Amino acid sequence: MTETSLHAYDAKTLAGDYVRAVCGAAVCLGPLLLLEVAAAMAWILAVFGAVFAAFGLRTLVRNLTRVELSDAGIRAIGPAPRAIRWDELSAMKLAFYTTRRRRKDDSRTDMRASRDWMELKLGGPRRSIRVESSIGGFEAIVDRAYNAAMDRNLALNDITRANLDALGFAAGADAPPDGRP
Amino acid sequence: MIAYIAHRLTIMAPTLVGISLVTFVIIQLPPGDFLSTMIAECEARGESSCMDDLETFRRDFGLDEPLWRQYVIWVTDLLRGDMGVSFEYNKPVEEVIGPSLWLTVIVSGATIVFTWVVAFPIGVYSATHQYSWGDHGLTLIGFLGLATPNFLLALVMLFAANVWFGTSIGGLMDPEYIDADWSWAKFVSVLEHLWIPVVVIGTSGTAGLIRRLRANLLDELQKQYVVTARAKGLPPGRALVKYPLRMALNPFIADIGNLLPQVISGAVIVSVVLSLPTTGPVLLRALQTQDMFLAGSFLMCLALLTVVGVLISDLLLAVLDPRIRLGAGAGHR
Repeated sequence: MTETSLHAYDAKTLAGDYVRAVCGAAVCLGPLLLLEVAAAMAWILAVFGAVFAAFGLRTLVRNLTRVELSDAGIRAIGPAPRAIRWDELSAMKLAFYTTRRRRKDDSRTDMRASRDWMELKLGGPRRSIRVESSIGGFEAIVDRAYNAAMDRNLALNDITRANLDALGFAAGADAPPDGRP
Repeated sequence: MIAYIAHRLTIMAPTLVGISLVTFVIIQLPPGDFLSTMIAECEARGESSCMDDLETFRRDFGLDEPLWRQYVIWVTDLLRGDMGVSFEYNKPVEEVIGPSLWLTVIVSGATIVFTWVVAFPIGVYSATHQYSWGDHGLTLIGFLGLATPNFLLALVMLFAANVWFGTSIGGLMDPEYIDADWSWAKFVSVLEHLWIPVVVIGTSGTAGLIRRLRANLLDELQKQYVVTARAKGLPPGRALVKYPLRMALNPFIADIGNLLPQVISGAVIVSVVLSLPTTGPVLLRALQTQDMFLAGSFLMCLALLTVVGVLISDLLLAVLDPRIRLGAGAGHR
């Protein structure tokens, strides 16, 4: 019997992202509408405003998206539907982002409690799926994807291996990158 | 990535607002202002006609407004691209900074290139020949460079040039070109004078870079993947350049934030000592005389470049090396 689980993004994180998108767009586009700003400044504000608008749209898409994890593959259900079967998985990348410059002795582990997050990118034959660590059951998704990547002997880059190691998977970041010298 | 950019921008905006507030408050902190000094001088001379002009001046520049309103006017003018008028020079700030800005960019750009070109091969050599005579010698020179203040080196070079060669090495061009328009001869004259400030300003930076590159590269070279790569017969040059050197460069990418403001700040003390026509002495004079629009706009430019530089370096790091720096072990397995 196939075991299936459904994952959604954390409402608190999404709310924070909505606030960020709205405030950012207001700060950037407000002066553009209310003041006669210099041409160079207008361009900068317009570009930043566009970034915040895109971020808001992306947050909305995440809000409406559910990720279905099964033994057969992974599927994003929502405004931008896509699916990858595990036996067609062609790439796996795990990136870590932080807005803080970490101190050497900083060993905070709970990403939900901090402003750090991870992004898992899975490549398939046609489309790729990106999942962020603010989704419920992120570790289970990484676990399943890592197993599939190992089954398919996919070469993981050294950054992905280091991040997997940090999550507790024995991916061997100290081994030669891409498995060759 | 767009999430990362949005997160960084939401931090950047309040940072800039905070910096503008602090800058404005600090400039206003000393008692009086540039105009009150002028009024005092006017009264000392017993003139009454200039008093009316000064009051008009004060009203025109909004100096009779409450502080919060002055701040709002200053910030909105900056957004409009109007940096205000320098009291001392009685010219728009752009016109005061403009002529020295290009020379500052040339000096700073040449200094950054000098620092990297000299430090990079030495740092790599020191790391790959650890504890050799060459490493010890270069380390000693590096420590000397770190320990010598730039302005002191400038004074020593001025003295040495005067005593041994009977010449003055101050300035950035021959005297006949100071007020002349740009020409090939003036450009050549600048190049002839450029090496002295470049060496003086760049020495400590070069020494620091050598030490950091050596330490970072040594860390990487001791990792297991480098040992494995060597054991599998990868040529030493490739085993060095392909991964360890790339990883050792990350701290330098993180330093881009400091490079951008350096380009326009014009190494204030060295510029004063060597009589360089850069922006550094202009800023110093503006701060001394409480020329608030000139000093404020200049400091805001420096802050903006710092924040933008940090943003660029963070984005580059996020693209090049998005990995957990240290132990976020969730104990998954």
